[in-house]
Amino acid sequence: MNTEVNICGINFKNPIIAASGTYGFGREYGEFYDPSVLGGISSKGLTLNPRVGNDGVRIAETPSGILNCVGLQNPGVEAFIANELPYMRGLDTVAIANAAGSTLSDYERICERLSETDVDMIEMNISCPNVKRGGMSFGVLPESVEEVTRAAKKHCKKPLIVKLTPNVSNIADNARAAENGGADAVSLINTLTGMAVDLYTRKPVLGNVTGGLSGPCIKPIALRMVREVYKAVSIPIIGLGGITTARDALEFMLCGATAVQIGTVNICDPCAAPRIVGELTEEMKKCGVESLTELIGALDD
Amino acid sequence: MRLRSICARTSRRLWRVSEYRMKDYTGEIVSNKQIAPDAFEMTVGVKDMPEVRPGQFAMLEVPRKDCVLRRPFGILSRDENSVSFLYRVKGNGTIALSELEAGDGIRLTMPLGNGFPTEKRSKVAIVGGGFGIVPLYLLAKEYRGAEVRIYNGFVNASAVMLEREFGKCGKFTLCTDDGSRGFHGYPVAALEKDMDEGFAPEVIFCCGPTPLMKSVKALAARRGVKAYLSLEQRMGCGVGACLTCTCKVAGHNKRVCKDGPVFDSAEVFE
Ligand SMILES: Cc1cc2nc3c(=O)[nH]c(=O)nc-3n(C[C@H](O)[C@H](O)[C@H](O)COP(=O)(O)OP(=O)(O)OC[C@H]3O[C@@H](n4cnc5c(N)ncnc54)[C@H](O)[C@@H]3O)c2cc1C
Ligand SMILES: Cc1cc2nc3c(=O)[nH]c(=O)nc-3n(C[C@H](O)[C@H](O)[C@H](O)COP(=O)(O)O)c2cc1C
Ligand code: FES
Repeated sequence: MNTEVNICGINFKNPIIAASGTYGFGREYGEFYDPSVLGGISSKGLTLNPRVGNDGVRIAETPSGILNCVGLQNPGVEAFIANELPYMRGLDTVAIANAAGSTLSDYERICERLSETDVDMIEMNISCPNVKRGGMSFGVLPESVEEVTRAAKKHCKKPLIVKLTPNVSNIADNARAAENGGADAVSLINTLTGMAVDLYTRKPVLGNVTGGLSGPCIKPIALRMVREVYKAVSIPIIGLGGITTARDALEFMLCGATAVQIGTVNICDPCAAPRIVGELTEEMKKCGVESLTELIGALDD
Repeated sequence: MRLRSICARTSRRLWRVSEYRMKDYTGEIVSNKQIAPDAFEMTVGVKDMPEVRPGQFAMLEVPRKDCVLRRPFGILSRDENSVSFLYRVKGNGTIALSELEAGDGIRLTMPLGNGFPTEKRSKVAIVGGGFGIVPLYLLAKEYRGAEVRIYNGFVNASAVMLEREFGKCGKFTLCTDDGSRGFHGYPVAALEKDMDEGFAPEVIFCCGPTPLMKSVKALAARRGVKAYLSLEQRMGCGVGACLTCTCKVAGHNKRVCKDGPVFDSAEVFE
């Protein structure tokens, strides 16, 4: 049975990729199992300069999900290249650098810098809802999605994945805008903006008041959006949002994803990744497919 | 099982081999009993139970599908084939945990964090408040032979836990906020009184509510004594990957789960 998939000429041994922000750079999970079991790893979101992130409580549990407001804490792109990339590169898995910025020129410069390294792909986060400036503003309007994609693409010598936010009126429009701007692939979805409050103290639970919702509770929304985007663009789609099993992963492929990412499930269960990868062939048997590529987009709707 | 074989195969290839290396375990509840109005003591049978340093903790899976996060709990004690916890029944997760019965399965990741620094000392003070006493028990036992003075505080007489156990580990002062038993006042006040009367600990260890830890920090600074505090923070992964549990340590963000949970009092609560 063949679990391989190909995105923009890059071969993944399986379609399971660790999602940005939930897997660090792989080291911690490397204490539990060899992260090379994964098809790929998307790094913690990187900015040009180090960022300390938000103050106060950064996580809250909600029914079948979590809210987070880490606020893009990261060591900055240079420290990533010096200290983390060699570790990621030492693994036998596709290395994706996830990049974020607050100005057009941030995106240009970070893509340029990462293009000089041996990362396999760059995933551009234009959707992080936690950062007050930047982030959100690029990801919301189709015109600005296209503009930032075009600007980044000019400076990017690696396959460019644009990661879309679900906090928009029509995600298919934004996916089309990314495609028009030159994106080689899109990934979706990032977290949905939400909040949690404490009735008795009358205070917000999160330090940042609002946070990004992720985990199983967002899966139905993510599936719907992947399907809408699949019908709107011809570039490959990486689907994510609430995946906890190989069955969930294949559902995303059925809706049109070529590969998937797993995020929150790593936080909830440190051995989730090898379990999900291990379940793949069993699920393929149940679906009656020899190669996973047979499933991509094959939903009968 | 397939998952097991992948985990086993990959773990053999790991470079960092340490007896304290964190791992994911499937355990079986041996006992789970109420020991105070809102407190349960739970013992989990675990094959290949790892060594544990005082102050390390575990992340326990909650037996409820909609509670996706594991819960952090200090390790109260261990032996070759089991580990024990003492927890407060607080919200959905701990309510569900309290309903587990002997024979039920549970997944848990441990041992996590660095625990307390336990270099040789001849005089140590241990200050605990409420459920903060949990990680201090292994610590008190570690210092058996030294002059150990323990000050554990509770809201009132009915909230007192592990009195006999701590009593065996050193000179024990029970404190209650309302004076219904033992020393009337916070445990840090009891320690300060002893220090006024000549007790000169080389180090103070503390775990408990934030106000208690802040007052231990202040006392340590006033008296020029080293103090270590075990911090609590909301956690996601518990293993250092998600950066949701950070606190400021000497002005920098540190992960309570991986870099802590124990920090030098001079560097926190600034
Ligand atoms: C390192 C560490 C060690 C701990 N050791 C113990 C112990 O030995 N005994 C004990 O009774 N408690 C301990 N706690 C606190 C314990 O983790 C919480 O009381 C518990 O998670 C509450 O879960 P819940 O579902 O009942 O509460 P809810 O309020 O329903 O939980 C919702 C979410 O908030 C988190 N949360 C709520 N309160 C706390 C808290 N005080 N600290 C951290 N996270 C919290 C939960 O983990 C969960 O993710 C420890 C916490 C940490 C960080
Ligand atoms: C704690 C946390 C941190 C995250 N950080 C980032 C990030 O830095 N960059 C990014 O593009 N997405 C980030 N995300 C979003 C995830 O990559 C993913 O899009 C989202 O969580 C949905 O997938 P899931 O339900 O499988 O977690 C983060 C999510 C979580 C829970
Ligand atoms: S809880 Fe994830 S880094 Fe500490």
